[in-house]
Amino acid sequence: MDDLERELRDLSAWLETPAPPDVTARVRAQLAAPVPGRRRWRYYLAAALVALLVAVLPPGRAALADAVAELLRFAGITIATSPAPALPTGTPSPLPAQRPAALHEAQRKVLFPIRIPAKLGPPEQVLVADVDGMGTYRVATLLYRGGALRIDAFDGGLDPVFQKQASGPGVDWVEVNGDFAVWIGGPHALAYVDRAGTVRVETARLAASTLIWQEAGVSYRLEGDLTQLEAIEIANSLN
Amino acid sequence: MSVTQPEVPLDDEELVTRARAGDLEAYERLVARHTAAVYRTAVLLGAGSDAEDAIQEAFVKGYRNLSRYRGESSFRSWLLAIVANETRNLHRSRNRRDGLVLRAVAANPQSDIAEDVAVGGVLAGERRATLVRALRLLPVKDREVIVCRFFLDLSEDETVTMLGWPRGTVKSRTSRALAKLRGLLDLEEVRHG
Repeated sequence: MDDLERELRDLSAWLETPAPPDVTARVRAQLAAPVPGRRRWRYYLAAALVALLVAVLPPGRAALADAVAELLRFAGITIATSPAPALPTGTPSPLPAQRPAALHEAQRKVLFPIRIPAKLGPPEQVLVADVDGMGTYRVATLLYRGGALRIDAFDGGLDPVFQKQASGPGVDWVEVNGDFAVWIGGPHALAYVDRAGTVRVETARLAASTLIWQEAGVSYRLEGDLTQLEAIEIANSLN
Repeated sequence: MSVTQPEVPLDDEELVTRARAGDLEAYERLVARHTAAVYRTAVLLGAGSDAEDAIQEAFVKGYRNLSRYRGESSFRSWLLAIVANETRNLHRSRNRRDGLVLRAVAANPQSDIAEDVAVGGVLAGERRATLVRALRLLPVKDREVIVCRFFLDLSEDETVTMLGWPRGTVKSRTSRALAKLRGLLDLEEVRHG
């Protein structure tokens, strides 16, 4: 061994690394989770596929009478065009286990990158919801304008099977960043299917106009008093 | 650590066999045993503040891929290869090219100088700082092989496993990296007189 090699070995002792963290418990918890590996990821996707349920209220009573129940699935979102009284029957409750979090904290709590729309800038508040046993949340919500404008983001891919079936009163197909999206132009009841499969209907408020789209495996839902054009502009400005 | 178990501690191979059969406790013992080495590897390869996440992920992947570990190399080097890979993925996703050798060391020479009053100590501290500066200038692969061979003190076999290069490449890359380092150090000496 020459001098340089000896010096390098000596230097090694001077390269301070922080005390190693104890990860055994977390590794074990992760391994003890039911579905392993890639399949676990797919499981998340599949779970997210039934994450949100949006019931579109038909515009008038006549239409209501004629309305034929129809289910449309879009990413984690199910759009049901059906007679209005049929749907909001669940317990009035918001997203499960929803709580405020600082943006950087929220980012650590969800499995997908939280993106901020350049058009709106930093959110006034960030919420996370639907936690699992490992402390991972499924939904992140950015609030603006005192909560009147919100963006929900959650893991989920598109289910192409249902793409072509999208139609119904008040529902428009539009484009966000070249990918298709759904615009719901009027108020509608909103329900969320949680991890346990329980349908939670938010009867506290009717959702305002909503744009739903999907990018890079994450589904987004922008809700607020917006025109279709404004909503699409905000959606296109996600960083 | 457990005083209540008088039996001889199981070696890695035995624990791996048990873990492969689904014994999570056996795997937990492997994790505890190798955490320090795996963590130091992640830090020295530049994982920075993400080192903890990187090693957690590496251990989880290790367990799920245990069937692919055939025992041709030490279990430790097999694990180190996984964590090295995790760390590279970090760089890729963050576009951070600099390894940490940079940061970990940056703080050190100064504290050394501050504490060590002897002139010899100061000189040694400066020399270490110089060495680190030179290391930073090396291409990533050269730095990786130096981290393996000299900082993690891996054998040639283990380095082959860890970096996934052929043995010949490990050999030639090591001597080339050392030669480059020598060249850089000579340059420094000329510059500083």
